[in-house]
Amino acid sequence: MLTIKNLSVTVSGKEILNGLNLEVNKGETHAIMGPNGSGKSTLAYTLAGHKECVVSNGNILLNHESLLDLDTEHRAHKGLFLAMQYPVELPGVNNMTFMRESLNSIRRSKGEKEYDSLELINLIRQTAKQLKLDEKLLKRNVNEGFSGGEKKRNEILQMALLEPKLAILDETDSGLDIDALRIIANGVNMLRTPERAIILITHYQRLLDYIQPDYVHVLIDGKIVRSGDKQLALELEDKGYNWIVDGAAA
Amino acid sequence: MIQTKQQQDWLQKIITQAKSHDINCNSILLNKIHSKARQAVMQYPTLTRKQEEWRYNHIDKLFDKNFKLSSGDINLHTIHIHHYLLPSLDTHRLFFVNGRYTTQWSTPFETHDKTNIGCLRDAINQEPKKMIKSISHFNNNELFSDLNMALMDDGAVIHIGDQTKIDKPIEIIYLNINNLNHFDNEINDGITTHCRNIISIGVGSETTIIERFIGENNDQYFHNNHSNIHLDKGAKLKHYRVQEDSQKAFHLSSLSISQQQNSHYESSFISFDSAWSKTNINVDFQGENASCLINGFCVVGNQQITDFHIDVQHNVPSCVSKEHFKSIVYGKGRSVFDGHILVEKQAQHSDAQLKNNNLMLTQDAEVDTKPQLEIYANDVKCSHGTTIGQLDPEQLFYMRSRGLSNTTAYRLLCLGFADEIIKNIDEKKISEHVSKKLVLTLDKQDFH
Repeated sequence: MLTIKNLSVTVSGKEILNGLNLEVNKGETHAIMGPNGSGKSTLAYTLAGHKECVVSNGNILLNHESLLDLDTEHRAHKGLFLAMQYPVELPGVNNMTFMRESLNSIRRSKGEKEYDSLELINLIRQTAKQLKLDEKLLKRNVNEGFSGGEKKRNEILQMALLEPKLAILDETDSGLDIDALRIIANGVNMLRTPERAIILITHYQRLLDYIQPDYVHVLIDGKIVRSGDKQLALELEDKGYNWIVDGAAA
Repeated sequence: MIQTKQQQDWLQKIITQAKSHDINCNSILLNKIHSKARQAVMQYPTLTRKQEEWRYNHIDKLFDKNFKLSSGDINLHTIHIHHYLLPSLDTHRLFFVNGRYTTQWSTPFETHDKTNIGCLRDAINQEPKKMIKSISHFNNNELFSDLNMALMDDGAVIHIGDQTKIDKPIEIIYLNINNLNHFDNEINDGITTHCRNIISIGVGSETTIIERFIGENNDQYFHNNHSNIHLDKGAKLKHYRVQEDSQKAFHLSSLSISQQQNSHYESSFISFDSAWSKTNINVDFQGENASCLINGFCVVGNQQITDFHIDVQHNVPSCVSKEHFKSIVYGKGRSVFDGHILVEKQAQHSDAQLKNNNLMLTQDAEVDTKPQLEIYANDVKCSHGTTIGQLDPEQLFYMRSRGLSNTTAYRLLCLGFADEIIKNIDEKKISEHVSKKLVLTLDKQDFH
């Protein structure tokens, strides 16, 4: 589904990703781990088409089609979803309105019928309930005054509604207490289907206790230096990243 | 000197036209007021860019134009009235076409002893002495207020008696259209119209007034509107003003608001379109515990200038004034805001707050803002704050990552920005109309 070939990316003139390769097939869940500054978030932003991430080399293919020439919204229309580490607040923009616009723009792009208001309200309410997101948050402005956990749950709610082919979760676990983490993880697990691929970007092994990945990759200095199964994450937890850095150097 | 001559010539030309219209005016008292104001107009010093008042909104743009004073002699048959009315807005309506009241589209309140809602011409005919007395009482102190006085022959008169509640909002529509007058073919830059409104709300009375300014798409005209508003003790007035003149219009409004003890004035000034627009709002607290809440929102696009000047005078103790103005500026549009609050020495326990937030959507947009607090009392609560910003690229990225187009993202963020002002409009038909108009205006732009 997703093929990243020899990808190099600069941000503000500085090379952050440096010849990264990754292959993700449908139905798979991949975890990408790495120390601070290794390029994890840059990878997520590059996939979503953030303007500050300048691709200097390589290619990104989603279902054999290059994403590089597509604007952010067109990548979303192709089925890519990025749950952000720091979801921004949108003052004055009602959460329900935002989700309606978002969902309908994606349906339009696929040539599907737009939802009418009633269908939509029911769908959103039902999904919010499954994710244990307080219904009151739907009436508020997008992320405005939300707690950290509420913001992350709001991201997962959008992910559930938009039904992406490829979902990238950028440090969705950061700043969550254990209960919130469990709710988020349950939400993500509900969304695992044989058709959907998921990339989890995380610092800590903790999240992987709840969402068990098929593959774990270690990103250091803009490159994937090691790949394995979930055992690798446990080893990292035990030995730290230096174990790999030293190993790579030797 | 060239400027002085230009100003004098411009004024003289309009006054000369007014004199030729006067033949139809049979009120000697009104003639007296006119002639006094006409003399006053010519005495004003030349307005230039060097004066703070005209530093950003250049007066020469107006004086460059050769406007023709509209007479009462207009042809109403070509007007499609339904273009201008908001469907299912139930009001007592006063409809002015080219500055002149038209009975056929107006649905005023039935006048009874204490309350009168109608037009200035009728009021002068019915009660000449009383009306002229109240008009002569006004202190203009400003060239365009005096010009308004020098030329006025109509306007809205709303007099609400004591302890009266009006069942429906009162709506005043000012429609300006060229080519309705039977002019000769003399070359001109469109018509000029001048309305004078006299509004007084009696002791403990409550009412809502909606004013709408409308023009035809490509018409150029100059509308000069002046309102004197008086709130008696404990009176409450909600005032919504929506300016949707033509793209080429020149619009000047002045409002003098005086408030007695415990009165409450609440207003929203909304402005779209107009090439050149200036609104002066003056609040004078005359009794303790009075309050005013003045909100404003304008969208200023390419080649447009919108200018709000607000002056609030706390002359007596314990009054509250809150002003919040927001603007969205794009293209080469320019938004000017000048908010001045004066708290006199005796006005202890005043609460005055002034906020101005501006959103610039393009590089070439310009905002000139000047909040001023002038405080002589020592036990007061006063604050002011101004912001000028652009849309946050991270917000746009977030929204686009959820499939929204750039245009939709801009629209939602701008509506979100305006919402704080629009939501204060209690008349739902009006707030919906304003939101819709904002969406239409933004969707016409390409913000890539």
